[in-house]
Amino acid sequence: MSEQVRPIRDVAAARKALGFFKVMAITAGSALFVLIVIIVINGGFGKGGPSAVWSPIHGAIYFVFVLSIANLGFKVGWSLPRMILTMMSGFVPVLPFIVERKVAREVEVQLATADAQVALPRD
Amino acid sequence: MPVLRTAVKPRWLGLLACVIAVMVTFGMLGLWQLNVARDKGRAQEVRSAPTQPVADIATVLIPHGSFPHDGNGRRITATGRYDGSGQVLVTPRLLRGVHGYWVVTPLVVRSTGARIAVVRGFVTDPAQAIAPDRGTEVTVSGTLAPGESPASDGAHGAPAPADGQLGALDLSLLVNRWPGTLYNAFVFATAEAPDLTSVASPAVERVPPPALVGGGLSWRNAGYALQWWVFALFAGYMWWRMVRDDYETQRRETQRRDAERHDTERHETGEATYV
Repeated sequence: MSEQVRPIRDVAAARKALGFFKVMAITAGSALFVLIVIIVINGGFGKGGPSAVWSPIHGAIYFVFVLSIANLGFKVGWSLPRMILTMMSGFVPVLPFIVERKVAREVEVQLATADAQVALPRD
Repeated sequence: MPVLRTAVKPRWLGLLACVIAVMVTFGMLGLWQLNVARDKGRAQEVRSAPTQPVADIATVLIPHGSFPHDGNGRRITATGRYDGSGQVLVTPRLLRGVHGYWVVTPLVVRSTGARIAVVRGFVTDPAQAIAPDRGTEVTVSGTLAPGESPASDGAHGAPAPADGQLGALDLSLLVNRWPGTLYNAFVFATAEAPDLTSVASPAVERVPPPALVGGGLSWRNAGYALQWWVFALFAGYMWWRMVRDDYETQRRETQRRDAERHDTERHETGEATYV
């Protein structure tokens, strides 16, 4: 929560962005896992074969993951380094799953706080 | 546009420089992948050479002419007589894991009188490589290949090849060894009519033409190129989005402050003086 620069402006949009991010983190994490399994089975990089088919698909999935991070990041007020680091987590096996849990927990708290503020009568 | 005034803040201009550097890098990586895609497309062309119809050597090559770009792996026929006196052995060679020699015999092509190097086959013992009879005309069917690079003689402690032996099928050596003009190529013989080699030297085993290496599809690299450019555009979008975000925060802040000041003024003067 130390990262938070400003409060969430649009709670509904942020909640939707979090949902999108969660789906994409799991998808990208699984896609990376599949890619690594294929590369290991192939016996190394650059051998062609099934990884030739999967790599571009993984690339496209990763791009959507990056989009979901930016989408969420802007809505909950993340800094640029935080966004870039989260995007980089997509290169490390298993890390997307961990990041997904951490981010979900944090943003849920942020959303709950924002909800509470909205619930208060405005002066 | 007031948002542009936000964009020219030193902080955002500095970030813009970084973003442009990233975009240029990604753009170039995309170009690199596009070139790989093109190269692979060309390699695909080369790989299709073996599927082209069998042609007479005269329609594919001219004596001493350069090797055609789509010639590697082309199936050809050549009619002429073997010149057994020019036969050489190329070693070390492997066939199915066994060490041995390639038997390379010049064929004097009837239509041009020029010689082409024919890999008649593989032997494990030089004595098995009996040269065919010069008197019989033969039609050789086979697969075309460009001459090999010179062997590094004596390098890595390898012994220099014996007399009548070469370390590589190096046409620049053969052109000095053989009289007349030479084709800038050699042939992996797959069949002969009549089958002189089997008759003269049954121990000579045919060498299957090597499978042409290469892999991957050009569309894959074209896809990578596209992905690099999409990421480049995305970096630019991120910058713009951050500027807009900053602008929005400022605008709200100003509005809030204005509203506060407005309230205070109204309290002080008892009337609304600000719009």
